[in-house]
Amino acid sequence: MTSVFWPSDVTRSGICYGWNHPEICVAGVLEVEEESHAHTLLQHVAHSTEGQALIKLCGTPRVLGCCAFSSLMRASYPRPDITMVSGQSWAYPTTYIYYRRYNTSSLRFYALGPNETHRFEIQDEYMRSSLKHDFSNTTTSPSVSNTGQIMVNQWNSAKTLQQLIEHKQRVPTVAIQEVNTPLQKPPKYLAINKKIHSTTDGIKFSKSFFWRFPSCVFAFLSEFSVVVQQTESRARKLRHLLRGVHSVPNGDVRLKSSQYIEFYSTLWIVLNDLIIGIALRQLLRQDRQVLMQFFVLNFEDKAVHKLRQVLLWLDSWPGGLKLNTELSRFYSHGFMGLIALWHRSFRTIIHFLPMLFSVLELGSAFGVTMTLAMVCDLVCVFMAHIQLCYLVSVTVYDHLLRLVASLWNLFRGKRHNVLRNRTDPWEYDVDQLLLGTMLFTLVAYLFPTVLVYYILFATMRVSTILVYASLETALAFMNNFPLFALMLRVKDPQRSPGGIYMRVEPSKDGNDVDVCLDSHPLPLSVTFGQYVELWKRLVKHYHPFRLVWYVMSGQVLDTIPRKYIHN
Amino acid sequence: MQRTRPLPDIHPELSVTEWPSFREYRVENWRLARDGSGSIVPGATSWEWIDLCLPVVFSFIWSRVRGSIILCAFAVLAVAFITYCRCTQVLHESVLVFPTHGIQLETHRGYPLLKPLFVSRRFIHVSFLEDFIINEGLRRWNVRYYLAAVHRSSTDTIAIDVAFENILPYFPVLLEVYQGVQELMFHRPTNNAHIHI
Repeated sequence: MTSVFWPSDVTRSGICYGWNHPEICVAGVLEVEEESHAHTLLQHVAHSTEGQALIKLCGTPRVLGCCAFSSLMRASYPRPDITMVSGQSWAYPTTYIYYRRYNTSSLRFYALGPNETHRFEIQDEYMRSSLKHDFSNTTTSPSVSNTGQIMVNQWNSAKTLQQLIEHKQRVPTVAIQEVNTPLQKPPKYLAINKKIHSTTDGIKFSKSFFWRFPSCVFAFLSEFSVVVQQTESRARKLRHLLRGVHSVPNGDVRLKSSQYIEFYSTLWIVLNDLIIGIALRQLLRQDRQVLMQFFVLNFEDKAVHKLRQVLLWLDSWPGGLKLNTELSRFYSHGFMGLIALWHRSFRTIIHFLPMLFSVLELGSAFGVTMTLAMVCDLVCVFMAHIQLCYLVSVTVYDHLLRLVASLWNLFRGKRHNVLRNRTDPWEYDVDQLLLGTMLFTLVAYLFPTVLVYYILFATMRVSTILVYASLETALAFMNNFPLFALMLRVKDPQRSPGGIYMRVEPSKDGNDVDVCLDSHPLPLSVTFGQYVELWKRLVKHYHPFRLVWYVMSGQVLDTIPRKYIHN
Repeated sequence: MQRTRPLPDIHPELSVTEWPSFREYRVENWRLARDGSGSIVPGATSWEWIDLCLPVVFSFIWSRVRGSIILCAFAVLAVAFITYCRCTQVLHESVLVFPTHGIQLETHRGYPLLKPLFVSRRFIHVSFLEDFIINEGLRRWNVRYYLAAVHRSSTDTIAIDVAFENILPYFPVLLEVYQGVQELMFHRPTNNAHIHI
């Protein structure tokens, strides 16, 4: 019993043509009387450029035989009586597996599976080695491992082949034009597009100092400022948009579809961003006074006065804990001096607060991502005093910890061997031991004071980092959400296929079944794949355990480096 | 078109159907009791005694729930969850073998008295199928056998897909399916004399 792939929309009799390698797949039916006519048509098509590209993907199409439909058939799927061409003896009855022929311009296609990367790595290793050592497997592995892909290409190009042949049949002398070109752009737009690209490329690659200096400054600033990073990634997106969708000649429909989806996905993200940004701008405009009042009242109170009170409290035996008076006084006065310095500059900035709000409003007109980026930067600027105090206290704490570790080794009679990176027993001189022990006791008694101040600033730094992290997460969320892919999955699942399956339906006359080829839509894990990756990186950097470990070991807490988020 | 039960005495839940273009090995979600009495132990039930307790419980809590919206929503969610559980029981699972095209693993779920509501299918093309094996799995102190299709994905990583994943039938059923698939897909008729279990 041979099975033939039959297109589900073909119901007329005639000469059928298609491919017979690796399986018999009928691409269409020609209503001509003789086979030789069909042969000549196929040969003409095979010689054209379109035909050559098709042949490269699917193999050479041939005349397969002739088919006839009996007029009494009222089945839901066509059941032709097909007699194959000579050269193969087709005494076997044939069964049909129906597939749909999609037009290339509709961007629907079949695909064997999503392009997954790197799942099941460990399982892959085990299975590979077990397959290699499987001695009961006597047949050799199939060397034709891309027959699946060839068949999928055949199903996808069947409609194109039919259109080519019918065009040739209608107008035998004219050369075949490109059959469908979506998104044809007028020539003037192309010229402008080209000019924009050449200017941006020129700026990027120019050697002249006039352009190099701002771009160096830009690159330097983007390490610190989220606004600059955001502008850069948005500019890149817009540039990608301007490039538009290239028409891929002779359909690798998969490539065309993915380009289309990428283009519209970027467009949707940008437009979504702008719309929400403009709504936010209205909100900011209306509640401007309330927000400014709120900010002015609360921020100064919490960030400066409360902090000063806490420092004073720490200075005077906090909770009954007896700290070293001189060191504690030095610390608290030093930090209060730093805070006072910052407070003075804050006082001058506060006069410009209305202007700042106007800038924020202007930024939100460019999208809510710009607002988020600005808020990130403002958080950094307004918490600068805490950052400074934290850096000072973490340096002292870190040095103290290292000192304690080294002196502890001395106490036990050991030494850290830097060459071999291990702890070796070592003979110290008596005066070294004496000095070491004295230093150790000094440090041990001063340690609680340093620790207390460090804990204060570390907690403040952790809370700032968490606020910053949530803002960055929201920013990444807005920048990368695959809204278009989700909508496409809901609206037309055949345009984002994630695998094929055979659907078995009982036929209308009861006894038999029809087998049809269908597509699974792309699984959600693949649609959100990039998003999940980004989330994993963010969690890895801002994980609470990692933060706690860094606090305890005296390492500096920093925000996530730019290259992890903006790809 | 032609449906047989290859193991009618010990495992009548396995049925083999020969269609023109493929062969279907279907395992239904019930089995015979292991004590030899011949009674059927169902895997998917249409109703159980606990379903009768549901209206009783509901009538008790209705007076309390009627007041607040949150409790009402919670009660509705609970009822919806129970309905969902009842309607997605596994009815039968099958392996469809298309001789030159590939194999397809299917799971049909639904309410036991009606037609299947949800079907999940996984088609493995013959060019990706490396082997079809019976694997031994260790679960606590037991050894369970399961059928697995070893296939390579488009990125050339090897993965396995388990056939009859939810029902996990006993070994004689697996052997029958294994022999059928080996014969049809890989043209390796397995000789019965070599199987020692």
